Amino acid sequence: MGLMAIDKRDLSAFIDGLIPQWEVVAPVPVEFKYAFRKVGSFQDVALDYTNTMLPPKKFLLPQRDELFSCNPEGGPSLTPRFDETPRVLFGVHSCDVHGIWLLDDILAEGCSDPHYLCRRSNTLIIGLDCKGPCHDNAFCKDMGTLKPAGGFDLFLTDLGERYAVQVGTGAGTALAERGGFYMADFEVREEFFAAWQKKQSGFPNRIGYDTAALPNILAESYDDIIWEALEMRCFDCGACTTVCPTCYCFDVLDENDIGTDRSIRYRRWDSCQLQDFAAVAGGANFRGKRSDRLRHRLLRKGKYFKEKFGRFACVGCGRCGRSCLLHIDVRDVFNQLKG
Amino acid sequence: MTVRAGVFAFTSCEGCSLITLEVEDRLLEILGRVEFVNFREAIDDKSDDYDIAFIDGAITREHEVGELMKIRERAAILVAMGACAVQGGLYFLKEYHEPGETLAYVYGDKAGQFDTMPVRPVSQYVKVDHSLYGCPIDKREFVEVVTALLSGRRPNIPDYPVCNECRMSENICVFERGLACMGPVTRAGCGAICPSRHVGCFGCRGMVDKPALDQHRAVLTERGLTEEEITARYRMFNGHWGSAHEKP
Ligand code: SF4
Ligand code: SF4
Ligand code: SF4
Ligand code: SF4
Repeated sequence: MGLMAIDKRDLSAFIDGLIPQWEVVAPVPVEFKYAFRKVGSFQDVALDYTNTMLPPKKFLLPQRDELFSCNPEGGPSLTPRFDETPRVLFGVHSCDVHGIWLLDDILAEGCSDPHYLCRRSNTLIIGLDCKGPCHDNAFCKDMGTLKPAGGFDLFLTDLGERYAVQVGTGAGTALAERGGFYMADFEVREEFFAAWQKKQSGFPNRIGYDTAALPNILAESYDDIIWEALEMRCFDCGACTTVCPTCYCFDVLDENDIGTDRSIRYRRWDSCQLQDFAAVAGGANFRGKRSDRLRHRLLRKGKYFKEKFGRFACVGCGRCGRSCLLHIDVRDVFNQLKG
Repeated sequence: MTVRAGVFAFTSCEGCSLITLEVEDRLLEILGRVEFVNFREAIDDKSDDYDIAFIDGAITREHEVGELMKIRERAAILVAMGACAVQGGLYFLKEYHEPGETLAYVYGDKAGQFDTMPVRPVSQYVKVDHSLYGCPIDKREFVEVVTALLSGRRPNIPDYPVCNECRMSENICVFERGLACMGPVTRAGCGAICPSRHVGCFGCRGMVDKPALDQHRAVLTERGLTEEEITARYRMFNGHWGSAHEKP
């Protein structure tokens, strides 16, 4: 869609103007890190933040998500729970926009996920371009996520005195009509193009080959000794999948009330790296070996999704590598496989 | 249906016993379904007729063994409650001293009046049906176990490390604060309460079923802990676990 612009001094009025109508979520500082939180004013937003601890997926697929409640009184009845809160995710970097865009495809496919889709249809995404690599293990450039290609309503790029604003959807157009925005003229387009050139050259490649080769490299790695070697560095803690913008697996659990027998079915983030992720009734575990679990995760990131959806299930944010206590980093593994 | 329950304290501070009454908004609900018939901290009755026995405390004296076995015979379901009952708890630290040394330190010339034997978790002597972990136990988990038992389903007790809950809460890992943490090998379920308050996990909930010990040791060593410091951390709440495998 089109390119617009907004002067920097008008951005705070725009965001503050959204707050009465939407729950506005944005990056805020948490000591020496950042997190997406609900904000009460534009002032709270950390515009020059680096990659948050958890990706914004927690507002579309919360850590604990109640699916339905069951009430035994007057004949059992199920009440599904849907979160229809109108929400704006503001300040999402391009890697995380890619993460959400992928979840949009995955969770709408086949037996779709109505709880996710409900939140998603009530959520507007206003992205914000980062200006340089947020961490020295970020490899977004290699994964092709330096600029957004879908999954956003508006996307802002800092041009100094103003932001260029890519409009991704009709809802984005409607947002821009709230005031402060104007159509990009030739000068804005020039500056926007220059900013993109500058961003591209400012990000180094951190994978030693063209990632187009990744699915094949991973296919050939199936029996590689690397998986056994990685075993010695993994605790089965699932930190890596918890912080990953494209991981969405969950476990479904029941909770009941002993007083009334009312019950709630909820889901909680699960992880393919946990020991009993693939355990089934009767005690069998299809991925009982840690090396199998690690290989599974890496192949999902660099092969399976690419083959199915045409996009990698890794946006190169580097969160997993930074969260792993013994430094298992997807980027390093991808590099070592071609060593 | 209501069930009859007893809460029995052995060698412990009885803090876990009291947690069962601290469940606030759920207490009346629980009391509507669970009739406590033997509970030193709460009631005078001492009935021997109960369905569920909650055991608080480690076993450290001869007479406790017999009492525990009698309770096991009477109860259909036995729940070990808290780090002392499940792992031997802090009391196991005594095992790292010469026999009699701690007794003499605490009781001085009256030491002879007290008998003591090696500290053992409840499971050393009787079959344990369910465990409630932690020092003290978690209120929500107590409600979960009672509810599950009354509903005939398996309680949801995690078997993954504290790190999982910690990352989900979006905490800054205490290793990044220069502190050490037992979270990578400790059973989750407390909501990573200690790292959430900027202190490393002490391991009070005991280890996950298959802890990655070598990996954890590697992390602690990489972060500059000495062998003695690592051992001290393992001994604090997991001494008995270690002695059953390799003594930390
Ligand atoms: S964060 Fe590291 S240790 Fe934890 S499951 Fe992932 S790879 Fe394993
Ligand atoms: S696999 Fe790691 S680097 Fe890739 S998107 Fe997930 S957290 Fe980011
Ligand atoms: S603070 Fe402890 S529990 Fe939390 S992630 Fe770090 S090591 Fe794991
Ligand atoms: S964080 Fe560790 S020490 Fe603290 S309550 Fe949880 S298991 Fe116990």
